[in-house]
Amino acid sequence: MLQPHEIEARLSSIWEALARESRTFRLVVNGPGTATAEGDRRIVLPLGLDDASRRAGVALVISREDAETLASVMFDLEPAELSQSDIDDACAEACNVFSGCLVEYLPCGNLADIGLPEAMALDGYRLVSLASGIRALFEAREQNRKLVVILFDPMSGYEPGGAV
Amino acid sequence: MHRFIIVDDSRATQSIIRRALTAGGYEKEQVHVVSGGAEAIELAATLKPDLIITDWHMPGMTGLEMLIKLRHSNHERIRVGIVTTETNEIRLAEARSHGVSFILQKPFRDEELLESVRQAIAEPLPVMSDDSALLVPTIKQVLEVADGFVPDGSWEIRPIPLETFEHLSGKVLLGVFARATDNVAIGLGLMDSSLVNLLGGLAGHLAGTDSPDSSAGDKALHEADSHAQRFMGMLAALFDPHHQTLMTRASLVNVKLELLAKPLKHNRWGVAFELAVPGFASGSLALIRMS
Repeated sequence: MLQPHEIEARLSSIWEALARESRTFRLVVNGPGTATAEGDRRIVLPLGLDDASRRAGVALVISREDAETLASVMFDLEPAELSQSDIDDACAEACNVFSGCLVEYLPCGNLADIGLPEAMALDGYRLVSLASGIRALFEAREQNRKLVVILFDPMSGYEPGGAV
Repeated sequence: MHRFIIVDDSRATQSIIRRALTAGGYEKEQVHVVSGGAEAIELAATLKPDLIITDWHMPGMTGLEMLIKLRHSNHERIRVGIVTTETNEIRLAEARSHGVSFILQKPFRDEELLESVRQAIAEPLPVMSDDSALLVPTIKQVLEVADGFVPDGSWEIRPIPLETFEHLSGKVLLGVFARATDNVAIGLGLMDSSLVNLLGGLAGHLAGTDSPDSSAGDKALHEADSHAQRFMGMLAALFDPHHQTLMTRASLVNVKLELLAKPLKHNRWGVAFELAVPGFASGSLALIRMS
């Protein structure tokens, strides 16, 4: 299990690699606890645990501007050339990569099964975030843009394939 | 002219890998992209790519499942590299045991990917279809052999980097595995002196002739050798499900790093494990499929 400062450094490094932009992640909530964060886009990825009756999860909450920056770099296209599908795809992949790091913050570490990322509508995401426990919430702020990565444990209110 | 198939359900990652390959001098027209393992297997049958670069976590079929299907089908002398967020060593060891050319963690730098690709392409091709059943043993199979050797279920096993064996000193038990049909060597087994002593101590303990002594010296090491050779012989069957593989010889040798370094570094069809009896002792084992 990695320490918070190691996770912070890895998340910052992942964002820099994917978006070619420096951003410093800080641990804002160190659970167990509840908290929420809202942004223009919300991507959730389930993490399977040994105990099949429960699961954990990772959420990426990202602003429209950050999502465009990310997709622009990953697809090597100007923002104006990006489709909605491009932006969704880039955000999903970023959530996937962040998840590979955040599993190291679970007690079972990387024994968790990494699932597939899904974009969620605001209502569905609110349900998940209200019903789930938060193990950690990491945030990177840049002026009015906020990038949030959340580790839910347990994650409730989520059904694979039910996202919108 | 090299041909590639990129397998990833993320179009963004497809794009990143494709750009890296073309920036590295490979022809854009020879870089093919699919979004799933089943498509990749179908395309590979006709395209005969030099390398498949695949994601691990994908809908339908994982990258590992695709790799295993390729290895057990009869047209697949194909190199496979994995780019993934997976970090679990047991799962990664399973991929290595099926002859994966490289495993690269996401996110990766273009230079890292290109270096892995160049190394993979420079390697000999995986074994042809008539030998496709001859794979490197998995962690589960090795554990079953260990349980068969000392049936108390107390073994713990974990994968370790194959490179660990490059830094060994002293004596190792070196086993050679060969096809029973034509006596052609197809694999090597390496066991460090700690594991030789551990196996000897446990066997002696079970027989009531000796007490386990993990700090045994050279003399005890030779006494333990016969038990370790028996264990090594049991591993031979794992190289071939049809039991056509035998251990032709095994002997304690002084490690000559310069002799071992090359096969360890260049033969990726290998796995290494640490075997432990908690509270007693542990030792290391490497199994290498010679291509």
